Amino acid sequence: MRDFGKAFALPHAPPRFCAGPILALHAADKLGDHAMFWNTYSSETYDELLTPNGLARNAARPLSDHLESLGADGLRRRQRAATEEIRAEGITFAVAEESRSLDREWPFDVIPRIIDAEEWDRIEKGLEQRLKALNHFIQDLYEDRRAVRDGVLPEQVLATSKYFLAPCIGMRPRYGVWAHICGSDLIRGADGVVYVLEDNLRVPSGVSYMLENRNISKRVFPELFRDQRIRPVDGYTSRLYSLLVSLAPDAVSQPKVVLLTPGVGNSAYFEHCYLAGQMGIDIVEGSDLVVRDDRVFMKTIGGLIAVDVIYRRIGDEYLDPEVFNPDSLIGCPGLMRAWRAGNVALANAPGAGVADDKLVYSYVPDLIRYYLAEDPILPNVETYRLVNEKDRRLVLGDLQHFVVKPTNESGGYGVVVGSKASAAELEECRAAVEADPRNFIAQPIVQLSTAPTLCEQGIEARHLDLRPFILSGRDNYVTRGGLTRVALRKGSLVVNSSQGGGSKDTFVVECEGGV
Amino acid sequence: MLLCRLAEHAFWLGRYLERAEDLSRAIRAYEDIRLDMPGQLAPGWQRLAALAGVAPAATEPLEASAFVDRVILDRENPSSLLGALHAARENLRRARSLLPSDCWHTLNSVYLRIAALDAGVPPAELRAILQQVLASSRELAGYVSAGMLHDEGYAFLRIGTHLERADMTLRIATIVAETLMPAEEGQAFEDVRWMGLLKSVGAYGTYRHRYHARTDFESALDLLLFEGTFPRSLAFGLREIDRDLQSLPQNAAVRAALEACRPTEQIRTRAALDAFVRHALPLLATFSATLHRTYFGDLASTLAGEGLVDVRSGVGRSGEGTSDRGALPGTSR
Repeated sequence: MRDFGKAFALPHAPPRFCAGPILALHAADKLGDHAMFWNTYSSETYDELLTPNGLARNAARPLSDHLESLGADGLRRRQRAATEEIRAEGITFAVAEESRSLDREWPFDVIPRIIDAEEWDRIEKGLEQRLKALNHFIQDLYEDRRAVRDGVLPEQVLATSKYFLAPCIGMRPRYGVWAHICGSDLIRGADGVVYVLEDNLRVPSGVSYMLENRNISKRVFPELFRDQRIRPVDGYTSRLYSLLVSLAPDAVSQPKVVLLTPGVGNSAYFEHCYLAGQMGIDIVEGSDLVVRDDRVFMKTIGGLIAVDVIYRRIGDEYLDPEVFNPDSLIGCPGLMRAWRAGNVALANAPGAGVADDKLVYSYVPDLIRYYLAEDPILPNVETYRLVNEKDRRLVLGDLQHFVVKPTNESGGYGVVVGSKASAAELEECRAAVEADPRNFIAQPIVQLSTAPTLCEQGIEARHLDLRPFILSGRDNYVTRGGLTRVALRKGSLVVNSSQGGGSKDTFVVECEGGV
Repeated sequence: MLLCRLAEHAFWLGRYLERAEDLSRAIRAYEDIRLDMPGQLAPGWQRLAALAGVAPAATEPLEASAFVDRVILDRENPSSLLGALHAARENLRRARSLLPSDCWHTLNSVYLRIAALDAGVPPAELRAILQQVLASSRELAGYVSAGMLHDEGYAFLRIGTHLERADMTLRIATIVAETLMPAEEGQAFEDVRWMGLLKSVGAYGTYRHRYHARTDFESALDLLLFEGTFPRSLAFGLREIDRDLQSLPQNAAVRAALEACRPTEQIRTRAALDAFVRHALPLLATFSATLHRTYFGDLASTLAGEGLVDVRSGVGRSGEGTSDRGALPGTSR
């Protein structure tokens, strides 16, 4: 077999420009090859790599060519190398099973997901805009509540919010920023439009896997990086570190920054170690900290050292047993006192989760217009507020066409996809909604876009989403791409790692000459 | 300044890695000795099993497969090979940010390889795996000494390593001596036997280099216990531990506990070795306990009662002198 992939890697003239017998022959062969490689591939919705007529999208052409030249066997070899790498590196995440936590190897699909850089620039702006508005919103809630007074957000939403924390009222963290690190989930519908599905403002995780996915790609697919311009992702940790340092209390010249983890049993413990290691900061557990006179110290072999900034990966409710859940063993008593006294910075700030509520999510486009006087760049998925009787009646009358989600969960827990649920599950869902309508929203079922994924039977289309990470402090930063999560089961729309999802590297690719 | 908890992980990482290495070396040498001895004379596996805290009934010989099962593959026993690697790995997992990133890769690979074995592993493969443990251990030592800050974390790692090595050298020497030495003192023992003793603690080549053609028990003991230039000797280990202790704060009590472990007189016979080991192992344990009390316990709350210490700015009560906090570079990690 001739190496057509290499021969045709650079120019991409449309077939009609391919004059001369040799070129024509090659082009014809190549098309034949192309068809052979992709002819069993089909997607029922928007595909990130191929157009509906089976040709590679512009930014994905070098990848498509390369996949063809590798063939399915070559690809499998790369997949094995990647899996081996993940095993040896110990890239794991923990899954809770029968009350104990098991470490699983990180599931990774070698075929990267491609995003055109031009499209990405727009998404980046949209994400920055969104987080800016959300931070304005959180500050407003704990301060003047202008948005409530002006009728943008009903008082009731706030009064019933699970993550609105009274001890935060009157606080103003530096730069007025509460959510310093945000992971927003993006999906692309059958219409090709990228929507925001949810914003994670409490302790979003996944960024280390984004970084590790890239490391693996570089090792198993070095040639892909030679032939095209793929934006690097590894600036994230140094940006995060600068952000954390910038949050230190005023008088501190060399701030002590630590990462607070719930401990080795947490599903993201790998990530906590990874980030602490990359930033060169200490990873501490609650029992390593102690609060005296409203200041936080860590216990070292030489005595107590003052801590100025805590990148906490513990949920609000466990942060400080003095103020929140009194049974928490993973937090540190007195942390809130120290934070309120301005002696320690917490990222994200306590109470930021109020904007994480999926009912609040449904108001975000309004909040963008209200606080920034701009039109939202990235649209929301159409959302029904089940607390409203009209919405509720509409959704409950047609449940199998909706996804029903609890407003205050994460990790995909409690989500009911109407079209996949059994009659009994639908009944259960209906009862839950009627018992506590505030706790649910509904959205039409969005066919997530697909991308080619190496499966047992060959290369098949699998649904995916994207979680970029946005940093916010004095200025903003958005990761180049993000973590692509892919539902490994055929037809499944559930991409969460905790529920059998996999992942892909995400290439933001600069195209020459546009379309 | 290093977190107490991380110091403890570094210390135990050092201990468990060294335990795995020393056990592997001893098993490999022991197997060699067995192969060189005809049937009835070959020592059984049960004596060596004592190294891993496995004590089968004295009358019953321990079959090779049971040995593999209990001394090599028992993950629940942190003194078995797999158990020690597992414990090392768990400690490294919690202290991963302290060590060069390659360390995890190396330790994890060898751990996974052994974890995948079963008791029926052929001897040749087992030998190759023991070799990998030794190689990995040296590789880790290389990453650490050339890639890690030589700070407190490094000190605790080394203290753990040297303490475990001293402890294992004593245990292995006494077990091997008991198994191999002829009953009557002074009788020349066969090459294979005393070579076995030296090889089981990685001292054969060194012995040759140092003592040339001599083949007596006395000089072997001299090398293992007193030779200050031999990195696996007791004297070397104690000296290195003391050197590392000197870089740590509040070290008076630990240094005193260490000093107590030093042999005070010459040890020339098997009986003297036995007596010394019986005396020294509890002292090493006492030293370890003192180290724990001093650095890993809830030191911070003790200190809090005496007034807050902010190490970065020297000493001062909370709320005072906040303006120059952090003004002394080098006092914090």
